[in-house]
Amino acid sequence: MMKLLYFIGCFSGGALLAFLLGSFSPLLKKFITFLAVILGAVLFATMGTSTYQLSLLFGNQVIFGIDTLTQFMVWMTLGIAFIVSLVLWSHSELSPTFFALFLLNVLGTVLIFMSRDIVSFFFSWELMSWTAFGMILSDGWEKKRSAAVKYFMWSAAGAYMVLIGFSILFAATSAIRFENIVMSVGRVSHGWLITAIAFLVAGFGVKAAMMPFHVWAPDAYSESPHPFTGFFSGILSKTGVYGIFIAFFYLAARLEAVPMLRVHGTSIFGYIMVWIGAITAFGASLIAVHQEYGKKLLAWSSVSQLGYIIFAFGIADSLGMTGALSHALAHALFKALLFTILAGVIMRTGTDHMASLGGLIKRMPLSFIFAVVGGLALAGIPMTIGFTSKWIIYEAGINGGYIFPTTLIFAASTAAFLYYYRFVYSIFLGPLHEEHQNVKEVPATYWISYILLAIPIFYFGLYPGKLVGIISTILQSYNLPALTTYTATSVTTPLGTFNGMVVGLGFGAALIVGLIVYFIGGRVRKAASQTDKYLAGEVVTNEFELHYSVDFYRFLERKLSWLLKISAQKFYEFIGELIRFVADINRKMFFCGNGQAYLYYMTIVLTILILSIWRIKP
Amino acid sequence: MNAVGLNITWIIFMPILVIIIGLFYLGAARKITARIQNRYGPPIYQNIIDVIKLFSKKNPTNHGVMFSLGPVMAFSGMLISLLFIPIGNKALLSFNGDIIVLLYLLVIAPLGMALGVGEGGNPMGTIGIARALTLMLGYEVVLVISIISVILYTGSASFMEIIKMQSGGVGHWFIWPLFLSALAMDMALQGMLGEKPFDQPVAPHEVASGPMVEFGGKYLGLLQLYHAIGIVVETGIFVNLFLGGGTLFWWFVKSFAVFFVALLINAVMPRFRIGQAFAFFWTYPAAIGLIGLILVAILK
Repeated sequence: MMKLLYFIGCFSGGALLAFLLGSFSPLLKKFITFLAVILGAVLFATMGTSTYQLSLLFGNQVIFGIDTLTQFMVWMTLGIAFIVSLVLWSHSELSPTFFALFLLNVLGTVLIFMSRDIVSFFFSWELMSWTAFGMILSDGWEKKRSAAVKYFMWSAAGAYMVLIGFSILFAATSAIRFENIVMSVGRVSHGWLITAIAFLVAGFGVKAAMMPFHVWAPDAYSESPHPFTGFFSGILSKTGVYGIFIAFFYLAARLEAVPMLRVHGTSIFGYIMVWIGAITAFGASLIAVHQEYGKKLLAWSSVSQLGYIIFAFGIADSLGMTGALSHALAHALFKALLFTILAGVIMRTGTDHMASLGGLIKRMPLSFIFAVVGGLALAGIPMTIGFTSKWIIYEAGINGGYIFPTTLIFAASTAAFLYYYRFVYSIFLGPLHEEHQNVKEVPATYWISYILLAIPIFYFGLYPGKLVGIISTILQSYNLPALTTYTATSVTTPLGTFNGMVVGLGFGAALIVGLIVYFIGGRVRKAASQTDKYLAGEVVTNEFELHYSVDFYRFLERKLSWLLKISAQKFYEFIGELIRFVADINRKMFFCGNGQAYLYYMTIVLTILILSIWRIKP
Repeated sequence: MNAVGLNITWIIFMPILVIIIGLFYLGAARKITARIQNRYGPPIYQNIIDVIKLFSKKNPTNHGVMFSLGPVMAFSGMLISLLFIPIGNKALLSFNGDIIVLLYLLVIAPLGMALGVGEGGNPMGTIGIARALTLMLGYEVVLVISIISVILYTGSASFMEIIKMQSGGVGHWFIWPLFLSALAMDMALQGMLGEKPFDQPVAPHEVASGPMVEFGGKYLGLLQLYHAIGIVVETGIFVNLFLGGGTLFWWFVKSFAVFFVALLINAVMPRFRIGQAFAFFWTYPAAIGLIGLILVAILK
């Protein structure tokens, strides 16, 4: 009880202090934020698994609890929050408001994972959404207005959908606690249950950037302050994933007993989610391929990766759920890493326009190395956590017999190579531009955070069984089917085996052989200058643009233009126009500016009112 | 010697054997293409001489650490992929990873090479990589469709299991029941091997050998070795999935037969534009593969 209050107090007090004292000294706001996150983590470590009741006014109570899933999600949150607070040491330019909002945002996210009833869940949800909105705006209202408002409108719409879903459940069961809802969910008619689940999944789907509710995400991710984006895309989207998990497995499992609602061995929601997830993953990665700005590219990639998680949740067997939860962690790690690297690049060069960058490997070698690490995980190369989770997801898809969505997922993963190469090439490789000759490597706070993120990426890649073990414990505690065929280094599914350690050692040995072969060859000559290249006899100077980075995949874009034309954004704009059009007609009809007409309306309304009262009274 | 010891011996010995045989494949390819085009052609061992020459060349230009590491990573990536497909009933490491693991191991090599090419900073090289990746997006979908149909048909993603199910003569090969999938995969293989009409990434007349443009000397030598192993690995996937594996000798015969088909098409075909090649993969081969996949799903 007290520990939870300390925990809440630690973050909200830290936020208050950072806000009040931050304007006196930039050091103080950074120090307070850093300390609050560490203190919060220490407090959380002492809390263990337990349930807390908080008494509110008028004798109402809200319930918070910690179980294995909560621990998994909260440690993920606090871990990435720690990385952000570390990186923030190099960002004095951000306002104290930002630091305060960041701490409140972390608090809101953690409380979502801890809440055990409708009221506390919704309160935490709003806290998380509002503070994220504030952080997008903390750079200034004028620049970020469009993205922030879009994010906020979508968040509000999602929150209302969640509220409607909860309200239906509350009306039907008159219970507020999740456990009571689950106990009496049998009383709810199937029609209402389906409606409630549909609203909940759609509402959480907004946060998880599920197509077609994803339109806010690329803008909001790319407009949020750079050090925060990793947390935004890596963790805040996971609250949506967590919500879907809750909605799905507390409620949807009940529907599986109804034969009419069973499709392909799962509930009809599962089947729809498999398709939505696959289309999200595929569509978003094709869009990511054609982005010109680094943050936009990674933002679309986030949408795509969340599609994998939704796909895997839809399959809903032991493999699917293991895949979904492990990919949730994998995505948080590598996306935080890539966004942090990009934040470092933006800090040093001032831009994320990929065509204006290039050749930074010469000036920022550490950032490049970790960009490769993040890219390996993103592309799902064995030995990284990205492969562990993706492999389980593929096996789940094939094993479940979802052949077409699985093909789409595979295609999305190949498209990931395309956009990842574009990202790393345009920024770090190719010729170095004149204006970036004096760019320095990122400060220590940055590369320490890179290393901290890279360790789990490799650890869970070489020991896939450890990750599966953690997740199996969680699933078993929820009485869900869990994967049990694993050892520390290998995972076995009904289809096949993957041994991370053998792959790792094998590749290590192969690399040594490769290096030996390399050193057998003679000495090499260092290139004299940047223009010391094979250029078919053309004499080029430094002014010559040799960086192939604009319209990188133009030929692909031409062939896929018919597919890329389909845009949810345009659809919503069309709806907006339609509403405006109808409203305009309305306005012209009723708000004509004629006093006599208004008097008529009033008379009509009054007549209707009087008639209706008269009608009801007896 | 016990089975484990024997396997370890093969793990060490097999790459050397495959490199030599792969280089002979490349030599044979030059010879066969030459004969089709009514030329005499170089001797069949020409590529071995080439590699020795390239490694003994002095002072190739180096553009940085990643530039040097790129070909090394390409070579090592192919080496580790090689160990994950059973060759001639030798399991090697393939009990530790299934087809999907292999598919993603196969990516390490091109990725390493792409990073190396990137640091080279030659626009032609990068255009080559952009083309190669676009081509990959094309053929990978077809490849995956065929592989999924095999997995669906056998209920296993393990190479050794799939080979075991095909044992017992030509009639048991999966190329017969899964003919459409095999056809689709062979088309994808043409793209994987980079033979015409899918040689846009290296197109000598357009992008000056594309990715290879900056690499000389031992860098090019490493890339030659990478290419030699790559041919065996890529044809080997087809042999294991559809032609029933076989003993060491027959395995290489089958693998060369698959390569030979690709060569014949290569020798008489012009080159697609890259957009056309991509669109081609997502239309005819994908459609054939999907029909095969649906048939498997229905009949199974």
